Amino acid sequence: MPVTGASPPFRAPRSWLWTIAFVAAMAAMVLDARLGLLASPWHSLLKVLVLVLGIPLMVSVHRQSEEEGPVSPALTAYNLRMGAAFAACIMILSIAPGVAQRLPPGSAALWLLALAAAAPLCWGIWVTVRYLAQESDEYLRHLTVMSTLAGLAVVLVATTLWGFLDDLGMVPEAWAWWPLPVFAVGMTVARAWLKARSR
Amino acid sequence: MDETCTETPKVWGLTYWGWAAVFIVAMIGASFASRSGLVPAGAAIWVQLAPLVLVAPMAHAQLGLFRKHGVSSPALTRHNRAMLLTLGAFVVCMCLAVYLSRAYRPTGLAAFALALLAIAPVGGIVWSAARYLREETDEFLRHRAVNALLVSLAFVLIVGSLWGSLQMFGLAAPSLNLWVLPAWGFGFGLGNLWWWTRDR
Repeated sequence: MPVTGASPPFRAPRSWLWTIAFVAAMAAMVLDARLGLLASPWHSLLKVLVLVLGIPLMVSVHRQSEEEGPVSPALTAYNLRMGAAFAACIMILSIAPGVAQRLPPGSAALWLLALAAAAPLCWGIWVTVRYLAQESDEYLRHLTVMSTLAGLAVVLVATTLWGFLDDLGMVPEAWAWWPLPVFAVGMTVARAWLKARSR
Repeated sequence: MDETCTETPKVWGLTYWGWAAVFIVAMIGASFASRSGLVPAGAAIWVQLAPLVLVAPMAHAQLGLFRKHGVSSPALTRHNRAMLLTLGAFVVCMCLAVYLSRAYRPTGLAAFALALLAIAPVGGIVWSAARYLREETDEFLRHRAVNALLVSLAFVLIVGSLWGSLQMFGLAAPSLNLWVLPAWGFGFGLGNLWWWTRDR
């Protein structure tokens, strides 16, 4: 790209603001679940807020990628499928604890519920595998592969560090699905960095 | 492909497949043993880490297998050597850090420094893999490595999702997140073998 003068002033993309709002609502939901801060209607409303905030977040991310260049059909399908998997994941995780309380411990129904809770997460992984197989745009594929591998690096370092600190009793115990959100954050940051670098 | 040597390479009498079977049995056995109450609570982490020692002969046997079939390059040889060194360093650093944490019960910054000592070789593994992907000039080998890494990531995330869901409903025991690195290593080996058998 020819350099014609001073670069335009930096403007934070709108998707960043929605991401911050969404992450804040998610963090509040996790804190509330752990500490039981909110009473009955507000507790459920917070879960609905997370779901609702997910919609403008996905729309703004899609618009931003359209502004940055042509979006491949595979990427559009990926965004839609991932959005659906994400919504299913939040819905099941919001409902499942309430259902689990009514089921006898260790029962077959509880096992089915646990598998149902894991299903959207596994579906999200499958959606990414399909995207990588279908993406014909070399740049977009390279961007996804590299940011995914960067996410893997973050997972390996962060989980080993957390596991050791957990053994020392310095940090709270983490669920075994913890690598998934760590990966998502690592991949998103790496993708933004790689995009900024290629400009 | 070089098919002149018909015998499968062995390390201490076992082929790669033999070592892989021993590693899986040891990993599962260690997980059960550390949770069964047979080992004292303080020794559980040692039991969980012990099977990592088996990664070295397993990786060595796998390299022999790949070399036999002509799947090698200067960058891959360098990377494999670095990986074996960093994995060895990981076992040593982790054992040292666990021993020091047990002996001195550090808190605050000292504990954090000890944790950094324990994970420094993991940084080495990541650095070595990144350098390999940059230096590999053989497109086929690079493609295979990237795909094996993606398979290993999918493996870790699927195991984590299923196991985490079972934990959430009290159907599986809580765990230290130290399972991720060995599971990744296993998934990487699985990914490599899958591509290798597919291409043959």
